[in-house]
Amino acid sequence: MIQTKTRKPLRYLVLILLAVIILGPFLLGFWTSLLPTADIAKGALWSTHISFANYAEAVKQTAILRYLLNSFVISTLTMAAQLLFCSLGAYAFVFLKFKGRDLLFYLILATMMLPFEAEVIPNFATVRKLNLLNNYAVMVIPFLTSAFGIFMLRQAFRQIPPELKEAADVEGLNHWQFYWRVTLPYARISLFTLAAYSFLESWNQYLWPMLTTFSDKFRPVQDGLRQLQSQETFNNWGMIQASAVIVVVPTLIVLFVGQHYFKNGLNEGATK
Amino acid sequence: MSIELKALGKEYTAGNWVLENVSAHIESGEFFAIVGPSGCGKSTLLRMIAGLIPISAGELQIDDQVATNLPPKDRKLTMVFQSYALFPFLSVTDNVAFGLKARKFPADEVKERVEKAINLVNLDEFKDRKPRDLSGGQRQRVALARAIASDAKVCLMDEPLSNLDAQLRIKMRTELRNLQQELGLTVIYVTHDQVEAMTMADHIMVLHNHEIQQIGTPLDIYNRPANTFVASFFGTPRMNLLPARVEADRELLLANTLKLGIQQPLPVAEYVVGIRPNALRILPQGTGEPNAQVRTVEYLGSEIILEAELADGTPIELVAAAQEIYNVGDWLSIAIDGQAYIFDHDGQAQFMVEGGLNHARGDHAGVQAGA
Repeated sequence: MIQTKTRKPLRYLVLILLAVIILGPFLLGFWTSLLPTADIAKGALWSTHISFANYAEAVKQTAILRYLLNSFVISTLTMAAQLLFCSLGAYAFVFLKFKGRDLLFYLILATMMLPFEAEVIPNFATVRKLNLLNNYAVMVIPFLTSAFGIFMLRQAFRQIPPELKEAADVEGLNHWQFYWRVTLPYARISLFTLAAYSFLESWNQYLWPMLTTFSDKFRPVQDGLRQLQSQETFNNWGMIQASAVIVVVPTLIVLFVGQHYFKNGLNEGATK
Repeated sequence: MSIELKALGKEYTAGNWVLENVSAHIESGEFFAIVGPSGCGKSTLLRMIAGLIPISAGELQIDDQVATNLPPKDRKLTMVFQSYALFPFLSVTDNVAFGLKARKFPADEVKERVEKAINLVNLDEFKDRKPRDLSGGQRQRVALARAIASDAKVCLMDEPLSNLDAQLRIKMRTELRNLQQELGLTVIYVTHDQVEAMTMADHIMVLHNHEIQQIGTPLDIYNRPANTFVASFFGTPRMNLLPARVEADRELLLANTLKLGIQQPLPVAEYVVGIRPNALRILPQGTGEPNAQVRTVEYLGSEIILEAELADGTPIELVAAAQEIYNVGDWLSIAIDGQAYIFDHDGQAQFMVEGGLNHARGDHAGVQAGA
């Protein structure tokens, strides 16, 4: 009894501390985005000159809206492609029987151990040869599928009771029908997770677009933000902060909407 | 829709047969049970009939058509699984309609069949629920409705009741049997529960050791077991199997204790004699010589089950009337008063004798139980 009484507040204390550490910089960033740059430069963080002027300025003076559009197009395409190709790949590894299936799977897994940075140079050479530089394609094509996505969905598909496959076989469903009508709906939670994950992954890309895009027409948000800082000798910190907040908003929406689906127990009742 | 199994066999790796030489004829409209202990290959056999597992040897005929290599959907059958195999993301109605839609039935016919099937299993008020909002028994009914809604006249069931609690299982047994009769379905029913097979089936196939042990009506199997396995598998409490040797011309001595008269002389050899507990009588105190000692006493309310040891240490099970009192360690005098089955040392049935208090009555004709 004594233990639980003292433990509970202790736990909350740790949680609150962690929350402050994580949320602190974010809240600070949001707060400064409301302040005039002059105040920020002076270090007067408790200023009362609060306004959305920085936001208006960011939208008017910079290509932030274009960056948002670029990132949105790239992330959506990447996400859709990964959902399709990863689920097809995972399906093959679970429901099709072919020679060397496991070996192939382990080979794909092994690519996860290679950091992306190590692939940058050969990939760059390839896309340059293909004449894809400074284009949406260069930021989508190398990420059409992911070993992690295949791995994750394979785990999810393996949870499908074999009786469901047998029941579908008795009814004469072919592989495409089983994939579409049973596998995908059964694993929808994992699909939502992968969708959120791949969208954010793509949204937060920095190194690869920095190397492969040269104009605002195709530059995604993270590189756009960097661009704001170096364009002028005098950094308009208020405006940069406002842009950063704008860039973070879609991330929050994805996480917020996604969380709604990450409920447990949606697949209860299939068996037993 | 009759089904003919002709010497079916299954091997997963060459030479390693999990099922061998399985032959049977299943009449249209028949309730056919496949019974055996776990691991005997009964589910494998069912999946071979369904087409989910390829057949390694022999021939399968459905409705006089060879179906050995037909894909499952062309065998015109449905299947109910032990784990129900419901689609968790579909409502009851959609689960029942799943197969019909997959087979591209016209929408109005799907609707009509689904409604009828749901009505038959009394799930009308639950038809919009998801499987997770149903109880085990209701889920089982959905699985049944799915089979009923199909136009297939053959239904394969793989231990459909074994996940239900005891009371519900007994209730569903009757319901299942009534539904089958009402719809004229041919049912092949796999179970490890001999009571289920006995109460529901028209014919029973007993599988053990990769082979058929016996096929027959429940009465046949109970009254004329072909071998010691079948004899001990059917009936609760289990049949006592006692070692026996020829003592005199027409007499066997069981477990060095009990004498059993037989109507025909047997060659001198080792035998096994099976006696059901209800064919053993406990003589009143003071009559007869004490020959068994009580080891455990189980009160079942209507009767008492006694586990005893014969004088030479052979365990034996007895049933006694509930009003009598027995204590562990009591010495009893028991005698054979009913049927005894004589098996050879390989466990194959030889014949049956009607035992009457120590002395066989020679006028009872021995029944040859197809060994």
